[in-house]
Amino acid sequence: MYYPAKITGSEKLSKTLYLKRIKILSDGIKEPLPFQFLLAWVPGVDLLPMSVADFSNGEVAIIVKERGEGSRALIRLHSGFLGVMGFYGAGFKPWSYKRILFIAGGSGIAPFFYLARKACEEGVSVDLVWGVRGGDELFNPRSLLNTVNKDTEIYIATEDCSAGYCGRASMLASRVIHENPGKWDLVIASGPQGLLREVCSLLSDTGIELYVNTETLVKCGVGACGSCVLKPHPLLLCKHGPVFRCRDIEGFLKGG
Amino acid sequence: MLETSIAGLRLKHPVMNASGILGSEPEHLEILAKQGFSALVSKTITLNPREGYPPPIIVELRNNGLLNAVGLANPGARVIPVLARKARELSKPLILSIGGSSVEEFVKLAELASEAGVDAVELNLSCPHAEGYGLELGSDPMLVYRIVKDVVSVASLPVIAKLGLTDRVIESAGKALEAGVKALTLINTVKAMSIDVYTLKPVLSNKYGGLSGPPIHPIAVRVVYDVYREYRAEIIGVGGVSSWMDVAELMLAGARAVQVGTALIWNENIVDEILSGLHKWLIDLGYNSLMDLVGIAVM
Repeated sequence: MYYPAKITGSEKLSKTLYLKRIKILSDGIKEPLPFQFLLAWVPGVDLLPMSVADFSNGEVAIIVKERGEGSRALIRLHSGFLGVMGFYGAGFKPWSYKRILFIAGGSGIAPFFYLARKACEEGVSVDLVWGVRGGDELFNPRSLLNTVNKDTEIYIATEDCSAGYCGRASMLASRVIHENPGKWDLVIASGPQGLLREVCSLLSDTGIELYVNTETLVKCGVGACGSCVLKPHPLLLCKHGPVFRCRDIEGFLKGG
Repeated sequence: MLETSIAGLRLKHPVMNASGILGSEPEHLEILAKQGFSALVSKTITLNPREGYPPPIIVELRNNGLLNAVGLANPGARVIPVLARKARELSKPLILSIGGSSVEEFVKLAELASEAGVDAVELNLSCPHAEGYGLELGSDPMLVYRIVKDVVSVASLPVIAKLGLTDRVIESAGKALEAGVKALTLINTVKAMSIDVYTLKPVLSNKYGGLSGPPIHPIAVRVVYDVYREYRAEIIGVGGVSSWMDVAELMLAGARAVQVGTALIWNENIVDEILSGLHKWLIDLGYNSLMDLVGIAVM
């Protein structure tokens, strides 16, 4: 559904990441499921797929990374109106698991915060491994985490070795999983396709359920245009995803 | 009970997908086939690849309608044999929708479709938002005649013309039939617009788009009725079908088959729901065959 909306909050989190709070100007918006996403319309510029980082009372939070003209325009929008389409995707409700390890690369951290909030309501714990290229991309995830997520453990990796573990998120995740056998029964990786591919292969022998939050070209969000098809699989990110089990999209992960 | 035939194709039931929702990639056909359609209709394929318009390309409206200006995005003619192969693999008849900006382009595409061995072609003479394509051609009855005549002369398969809402739709339908189409698909989306009242701008990047979904259904019923009354032609009815009753209406107005597009977005079980509804309807009315009801409301 299309809704007019208004920017109600804008905050620079780090050198590359920005938080936007958006009030949807329509009543009775049904709350999204974790990993559902919206399309943010910056009039005259672009339409940007954005993970839901938080939601309450018709106000949604998104985390924007500076990528191109569209995201720059959205970042510069500190007040005023925009359009929101959503919420799209099947979402993901991993409430049958006990403890989830969320492995994020860069802005792939966005859906973690909303997942953590909802998981807590369901009595499921979520821990975080977050990797970035440069330390200046980091912010303190606890600052956006609901205070109820007290038992969440956070592991940080940087590729420029300026903070936390020196290396990629997938390597750090592999290490903490091997140091804590049996601690997690579900892994969800979110970020660039390289990270997803690495997580799926590195952790394939751990016996933990492996899911990934995919990214591809989303144009319409409603399953009509077909641009988000996960070739060679008959799957659409916007209808069947964006979260898939590693083994269900092996061909797609290989091809990226 | 629900069998039908259209343009020489014998179908298990009257429900196919409408061109435009998915259908430009083999994986899309797989997704559509799972829905249970009796035949698959491709997205409109043009000779050369088309990027289409930048987003927003689709808007879900407050009135349960959908507005789109995708801009005929497709991989171009190279995908025709790929789609034909996939449809055979799925054991589904394939109707290839083709779109040209000239008589020559339609002819070339129809030749490629014949070579690839698809089951029929549907000429897109009705897309309302692509300059030089679709409705701009379909609204000129003489041009419709020329395109159809030339396509029919080279194509070794049934040719269907898809026409949209214009003041001259009945005339265009007549010319298409006169030039040798086996069937008509009526109607396409209706040219429309949506404006955001806070940002004060049209939402679609193309400003104009095609309206589909429940709001256009009564228009489709009217056009099917008028064309059937005039020519008793074979018609595929399309426009806002979201329940068995919508299908029944189109059939009573003269359609032998129907297409479903927008409703797929909101309802994954639409085909099964339509078929069980039609089945019950036949029993309630005491009919043995859906075909016996085609055009029965037309006076």
